[in-house]
Amino acid sequence: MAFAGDWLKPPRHMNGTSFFYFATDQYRYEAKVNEEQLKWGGRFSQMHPADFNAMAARLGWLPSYPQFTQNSLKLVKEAREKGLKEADEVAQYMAQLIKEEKVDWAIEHPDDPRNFPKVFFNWRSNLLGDTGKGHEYFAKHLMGGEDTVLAESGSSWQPETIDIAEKPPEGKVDLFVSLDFRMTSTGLFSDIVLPAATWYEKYDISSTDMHPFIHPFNAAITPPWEAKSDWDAFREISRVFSELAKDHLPACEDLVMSPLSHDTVDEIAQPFGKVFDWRKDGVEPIPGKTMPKFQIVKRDYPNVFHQFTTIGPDIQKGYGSKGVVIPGEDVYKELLNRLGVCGREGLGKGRPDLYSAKHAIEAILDMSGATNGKRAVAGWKSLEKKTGQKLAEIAQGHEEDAYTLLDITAQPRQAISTPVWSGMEKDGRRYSPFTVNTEYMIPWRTLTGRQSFYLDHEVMLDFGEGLPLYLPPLNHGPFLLGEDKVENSGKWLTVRYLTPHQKWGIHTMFTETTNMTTLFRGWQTVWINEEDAASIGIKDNDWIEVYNRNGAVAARAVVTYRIPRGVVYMYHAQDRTMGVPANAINKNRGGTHNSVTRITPKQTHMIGGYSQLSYGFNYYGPTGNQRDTIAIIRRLKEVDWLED
Amino acid sequence: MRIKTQVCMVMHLDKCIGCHTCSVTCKNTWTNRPGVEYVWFNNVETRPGPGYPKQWENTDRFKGGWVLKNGKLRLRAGGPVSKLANIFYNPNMATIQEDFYEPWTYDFEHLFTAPKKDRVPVARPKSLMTGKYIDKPTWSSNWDDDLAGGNEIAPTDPNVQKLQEHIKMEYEKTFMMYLPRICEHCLNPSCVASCPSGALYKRDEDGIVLVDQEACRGWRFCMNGCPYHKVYYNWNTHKAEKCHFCYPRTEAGLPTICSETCVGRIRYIGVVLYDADKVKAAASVEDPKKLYEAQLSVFLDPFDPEVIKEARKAGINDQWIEGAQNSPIYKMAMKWKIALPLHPEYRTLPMVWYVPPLNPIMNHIENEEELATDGYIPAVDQMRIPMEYLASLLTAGDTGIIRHVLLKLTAMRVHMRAKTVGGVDDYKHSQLLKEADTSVEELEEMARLLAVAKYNERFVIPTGRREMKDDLFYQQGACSIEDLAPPEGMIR
Repeated sequence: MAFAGDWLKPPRHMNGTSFFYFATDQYRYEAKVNEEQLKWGGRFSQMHPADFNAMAARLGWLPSYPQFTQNSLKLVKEAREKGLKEADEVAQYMAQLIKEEKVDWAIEHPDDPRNFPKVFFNWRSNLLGDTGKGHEYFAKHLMGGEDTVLAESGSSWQPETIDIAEKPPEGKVDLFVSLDFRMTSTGLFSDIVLPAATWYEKYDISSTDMHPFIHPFNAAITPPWEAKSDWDAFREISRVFSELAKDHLPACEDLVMSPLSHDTVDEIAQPFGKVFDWRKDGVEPIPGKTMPKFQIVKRDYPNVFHQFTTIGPDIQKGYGSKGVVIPGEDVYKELLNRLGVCGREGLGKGRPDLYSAKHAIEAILDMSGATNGKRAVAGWKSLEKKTGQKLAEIAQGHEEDAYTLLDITAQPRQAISTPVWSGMEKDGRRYSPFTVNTEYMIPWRTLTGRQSFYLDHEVMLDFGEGLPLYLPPLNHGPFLLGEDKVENSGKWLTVRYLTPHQKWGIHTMFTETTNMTTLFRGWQTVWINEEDAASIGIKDNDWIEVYNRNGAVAARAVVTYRIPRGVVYMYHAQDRTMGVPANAINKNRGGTHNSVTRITPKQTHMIGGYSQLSYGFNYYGPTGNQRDTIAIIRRLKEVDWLED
Repeated sequence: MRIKTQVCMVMHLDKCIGCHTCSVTCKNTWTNRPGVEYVWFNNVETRPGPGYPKQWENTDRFKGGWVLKNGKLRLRAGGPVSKLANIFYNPNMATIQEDFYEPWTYDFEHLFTAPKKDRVPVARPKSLMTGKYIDKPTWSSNWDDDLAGGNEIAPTDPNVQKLQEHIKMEYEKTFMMYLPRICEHCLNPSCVASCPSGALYKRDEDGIVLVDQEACRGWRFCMNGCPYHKVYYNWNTHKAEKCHFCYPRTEAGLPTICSETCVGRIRYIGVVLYDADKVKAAASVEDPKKLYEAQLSVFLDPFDPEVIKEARKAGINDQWIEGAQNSPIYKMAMKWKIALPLHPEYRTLPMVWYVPPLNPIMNHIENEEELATDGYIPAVDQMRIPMEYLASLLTAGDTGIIRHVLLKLTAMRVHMRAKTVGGVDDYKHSQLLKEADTSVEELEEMARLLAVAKYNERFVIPTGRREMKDDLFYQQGACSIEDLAPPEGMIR
């Protein structure tokens, strides 16, 4: 339901790390790999991460969006005009076009304006004040705002297969819309901030494998002023979008490229962990085998609103995730009963109603095995077929359980064990990963069916990482040779810069209230060992700045003997919205904790199409690693609020 | 025998993670109003550190609590005569800027109203006292969180300054603990004795110490008269305010908000019975190190038939007697003697008790798998937090008592570990058990209450007794906020 799978498949997913690595032009500022690693392999380990990522996209390992410089709607239209009727034919046609280089991979042309993310919706994330690693690159290239990027692409390591524009584009986004109930840095950079309901003004549910309960959120009051719940906000956008689409964007066919996926037959697409690049290794580009899959999706833009507000017919064909399939006929009937029947004229009439957030909650509670015993048993039965093991008993005794929003409002309920997770919550046990694998003999989802310590993929071996090993921190300096043009007359220190999670939250939310900031020193602060601090004339609570080639952040020093020398801690996600003056380098607003970091992609995370090393949305893919940052810390002599 | 009842709290410091949830929920419930911006009825201190307000334990500075003069109890700050002399200027009082902190907020509104500019706007810090922008905050209720400030701040802890041996504050020798604090609701409260207007009182039914808001004249002698510095001044109403043990909740049988929301479940609430006739003598013991023992002597065994008989005579009903029998406080503080009072040397007989924290030892224990039970005895003496430091907080300097409690807690861990995973030798004949002066039965009982006890075992709170008071039939449906309205309609 989350990705409209009840109406059309497949969804278009993109992994964030790769997307932002290219969209924010961070690939232009790479530093060469560790000298240590050069001793190994060499075929892959010395590839520029952007070249590697482009290869991963080309070989179907990772998703890649935008797909091609050419419009995907037009590509299907052209194929149809050539008389291609079957989906397979269109896919073959695409493979041929790609082979003949008649279409361009967008990932290889990230600075072509046709490949810019021109409209950007940011939903409840503080992308530009917190989570975006390499904040200053976001500010410069994606947003075109004030930035303090001090790196130079000229002195950086450049990729070979990526078409790089002479002058890096700035401000790729034309329209940036935020939907959030807090005014974060992201809101400050947005063209439009949609007023959003808070947790106490909307209905929602939450669960995690960290605790055994399903929690409700209930509105204590209706959203004040113009605020709307997330569900209502997106529904109303879909309503207007659909109306406009009648004239401007009629129904048509779209081409969706997707990678070789986890938990499908794609996992054996590229056997033995051998890498064959169809572009140069003499193999044919075959969709779903040596390259991504191409599928046709019918986009019914004028009916998006109706699709949004009702449960679609495809549920009846069954649904599920991670290769577990729950039969859908009965579910659909139950949903009609539980949600009520949509009476709105149009595509959705007569279908289960999904108009409000409460409908969506009831639909999820009904469809998920964690909250509906019948689904849990059906899920285990599906896995029984695959594994040949007796599993249904794990959820037996729960067949009668079907939690409603009112049930979990009265008291949060314990989740029922489902095959989507590997833990077991039967018999009052708490979640612990892989308990069903050990106790019910369910094979691990690996090549061997066991826990794998040895990974024989060519890329892993090339990096010398076939077995788990310790790698020392990367030893990049704060600047590349010749890059450092910062005037520095006073004392300074080069330190390892860490951004751990703070004790009061994972991110900014709730820690920026008056009381919470009073519970410590207000924002922003950086912890430093007191001997280090003394060596450069920093006293407790002095203004300081931390900078390197990625950018600069202004903060106050917390001096202590509790952390070792040589490192500074800037607790994650303080954001620059409160109490942050200008930096001294270029008099811009002293940035966020991610102003001095950047995305450091790890190529081995990009492997795909090989058993457990296959891309899975929200499960497997490259992480936006921003650790191993080296930076310079010094006193900030002058405080300029940039406000007068 | 004059039997009275007292609600008490135990905080098990081993389980405190310093999250300050107690402080936040307390503040959001009780002191989120103009006039009390700087006030935290509940706060959590990182120790070593000066605490909140700064160096509240410095009795030379604030002159809180009682002293023994010629065998008689006297307020350290002086009696009525010296109070009268200083009534318009109290030299011992803490000031908001020097000792508490200048509360601040941020100019959040500016983020919405800032004009279009090249640089993103920022919400600047703004004083909640003057309404003016401040460059940067310089102190707060928790400025030295997790040893922030290092050697500039931690050694200003009055307990550190008292230590015989100089401790070097450095990375390798770092020690740290959290100390959550509320009002102690003392049996011998010096704040009550300090008030020239008689506005503070210890209520009879449960021993909660309260400020009568109508009687308070704002003289503020209670502020420094309390050696724990847990009475505050509301500049808006010009009255004193303090932690009232969430009596609207406890009267309904619910735990205080700080206890209810405690993430580590470190807090326990229960009632105890004590002999009010013994309080004065217990507070007047000459040797400060004997005060802890003297304090224990005022409590009564709720299972003693004689005590039960007397309690009933004093109007204490069976629910409260049963509450005292099931009280987690009675078990921890009086029976097992693992919970200790904070600064008994102040002679106020504080009613919030602390189980001292076990903590990592300085040197690594080698071959822990094969370690004999008695190998843990020296471990207790090598813990990172100096025993003397804990003694300065909890036993007026008597390290023997601290050592005994830590041994007992260690014995509990060793025993429970042996029981679940094995790995130690025959326990019953061990020296550890002997030195800790305990039994396997007691350790298992302790483990249950300290580690697995659920809500109903941690909070044993008989409801408040309203059946004897007021015309409840008449008052039904009346709004508690508006009093009984209209006053002219009252017929008595």
